[in-house]
Amino acid sequence: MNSRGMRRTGVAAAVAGLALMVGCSLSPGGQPTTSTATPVGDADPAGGATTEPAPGPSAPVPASPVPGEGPIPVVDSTGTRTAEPVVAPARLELAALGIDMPVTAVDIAPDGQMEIPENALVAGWYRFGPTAGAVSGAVVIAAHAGSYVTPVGPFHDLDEAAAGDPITVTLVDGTAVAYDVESVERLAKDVIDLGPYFDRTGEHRLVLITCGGRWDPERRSYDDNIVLTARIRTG
Amino acid sequence: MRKSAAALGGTLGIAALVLAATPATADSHTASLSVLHGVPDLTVDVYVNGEITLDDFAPGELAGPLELEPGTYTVAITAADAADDGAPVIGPVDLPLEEGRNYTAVAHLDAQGSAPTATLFTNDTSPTAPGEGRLTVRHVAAAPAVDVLAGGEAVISGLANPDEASLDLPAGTVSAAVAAAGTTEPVIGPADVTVAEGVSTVVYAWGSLEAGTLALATQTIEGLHSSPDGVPTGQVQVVEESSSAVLWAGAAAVLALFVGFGVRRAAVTRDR
Repeated sequence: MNSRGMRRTGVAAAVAGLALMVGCSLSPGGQPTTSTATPVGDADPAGGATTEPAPGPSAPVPASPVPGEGPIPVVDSTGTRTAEPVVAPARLELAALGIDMPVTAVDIAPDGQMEIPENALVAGWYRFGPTAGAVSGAVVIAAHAGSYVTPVGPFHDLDEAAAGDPITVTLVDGTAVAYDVESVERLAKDVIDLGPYFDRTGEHRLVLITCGGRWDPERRSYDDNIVLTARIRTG
Repeated sequence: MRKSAAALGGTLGIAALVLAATPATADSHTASLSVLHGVPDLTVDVYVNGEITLDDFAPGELAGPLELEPGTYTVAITAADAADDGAPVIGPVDLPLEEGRNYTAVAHLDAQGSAPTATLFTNDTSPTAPGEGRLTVRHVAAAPAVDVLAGGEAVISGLANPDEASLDLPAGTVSAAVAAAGTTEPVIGPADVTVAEGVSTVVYAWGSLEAGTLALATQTIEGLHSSPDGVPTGQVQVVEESSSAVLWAGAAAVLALFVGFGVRRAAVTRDR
């Protein structure tokens, strides 16, 4: 370790980020949106009724109540919906830090926090959010910096990652999704707004989370979350 | 050390992302309206404020959501071949839509099946707890009051046309059936209903018991999810000289401001 000054810069950056985060938390994202389900025409209980979006020859062009909007989306709502299959991440590689670990799907723990695999050698993918390579939103993968089972895990160096470091997430079907590290932040757990990191809208990104900062012996936990954000590699 | 300037840039980058992402979401200054056609055997046209808005709208179809300026909209539903809204089969009805709210207007049969009618439901889009989704059941069928059964037990009792009942459930699949109130013999289902996390799943029982056209329709509204309450990734302290020593040195430096010069010297020494 040769430079406390540079380390401080990183902390200062995280603090600056935190201040902005707090500001942004006043305007929570994720307003509800109504999804479309099944395209029209799959099953028509009326038997033969068409759903031509264009107006009939005798009718003038419908004046949409919403200026600038296109045709109103119409879907067949009959029946029930089954879950769309999601291909889960299976493996995470961040070669610059020597990370190459299996990924397992995790849930919400009874206390409302994200479930974290007991073994720090295994990372947990938040299964309610997007998967790697999704069209939008954040795929969140977290691991213990160290656990009872594994005193030192691969994620304990996460704050050493640099912008541009390549990351690969491989899905259970073998699909590899390539990312580049964009940023690493240290955010105090007491005030962190996790909303932006668990966002399901906006440009797709990969979010890796572990713990760092000061060890609080009373809480038996670190004070901070280390949050790495990566973007899909382009070109 | 590999962080510093890059980390700073990246941090500002994500902050900018957050700011940019916020306006991309739905505009809360408008009202959101979906329209469900729940009258069997009747293809219609829907007029809003006298303008044809949905042409040849068929039973079971769900239109929208429309993002509308708040206000009262007059909706008339006519036969599909009507020249205008002068002789509606339903309405005209006034739909008062408030800013920031989410509605579904349903054209459906009344309980006796004697006449088509329309009901404006307000969709509960309040956040769901992490790991949970919302299941809402709406009775818009020509049928007496019903119970909704999940796993053979009534989870909603005595639901009558045009009422709704709602419950937040752990995300998963529910095998649901609809039976006459107080009975367990399904008149609809059982059918698998997915309750997705952070999603409002609205299931409509529509059609007519007498005519044998009872059916389910489903509407989903996304974006109700909450973040986990925390990410507790630090189970034990990682005792490892490289990173933790520097962190401890930083903590010690702060401590030195209060404790005195001797401690600060120790911190500087340890920093090497």
